[in-house]
Amino acid sequence: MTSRKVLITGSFAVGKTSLFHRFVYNTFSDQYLTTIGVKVDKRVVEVSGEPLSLILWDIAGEVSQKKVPKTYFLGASAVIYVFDLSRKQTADNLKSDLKLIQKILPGCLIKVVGNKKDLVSEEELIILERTHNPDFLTSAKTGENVETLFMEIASELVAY
Amino acid sequence: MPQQQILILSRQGYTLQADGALFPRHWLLHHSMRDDFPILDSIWETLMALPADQFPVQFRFVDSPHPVLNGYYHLTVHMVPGSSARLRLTIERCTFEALQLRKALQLKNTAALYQQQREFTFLPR
Repeated sequence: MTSRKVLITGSFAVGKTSLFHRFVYNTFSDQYLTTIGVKVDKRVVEVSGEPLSLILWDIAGEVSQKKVPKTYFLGASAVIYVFDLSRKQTADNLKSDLKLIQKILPGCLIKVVGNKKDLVSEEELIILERTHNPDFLTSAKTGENVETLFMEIASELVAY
Repeated sequence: MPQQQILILSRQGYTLQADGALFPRHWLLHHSMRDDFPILDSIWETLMALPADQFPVQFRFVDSPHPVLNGYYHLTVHMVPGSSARLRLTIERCTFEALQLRKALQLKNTAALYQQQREFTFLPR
């Protein structure tokens, strides 16, 4: 079976682990628990009738990607960069972080995700989309767009 | 309690030699480490193709979903000198250290989170 490594990264407490849990186990917890190091698990999805194993790396949140060990990026096919729609500081390093990721993994598929959509108003979302241009707006709590996000990544990786 | 295991692995991830006693012996006979640790499976091909000068590759505080080895581990992968088809994997238990670190980081991050939530919203003031 074909497998692809997908790295979930971003600042602390933006909901990386919640997205991971929502997609892999379809669960959610409101309690914030800091991630230490890295947790890896997989889910097999079907793309165009073929199984694809998405191996997700949920890594500890760092304020800047400069602090993320380079070995974590080894062999990654896609990177999901998550920021918290309700905390503007989590998008402060967006541009420089994306530049760094592109430098480490040239040609890698990158998706920018604004999470915690359930915590912000429509008005705020409009401003946010203009300023940060995220690829997806998700809510790990309600599950909104989580499946769509990963399935789109899977499809793009197969087509890639 | 043993804290470390060193394994020499074949190209397929099966154990050729073992030192230490983190794993029960019978487990080592029947399992590929690729199946046991998804983290290794996801980068296995990359590791096998990695130039010698880029070893060792280390992953600290790996949260293991392993059925026998629950908890946190540091994983270090070395190339076996003289054999590009074999890797040496060191698995070091660090669960206690990880929980201590989590406790400290939890306090730090929760305080920062509280502060940032007070500065809530992307809307211009």
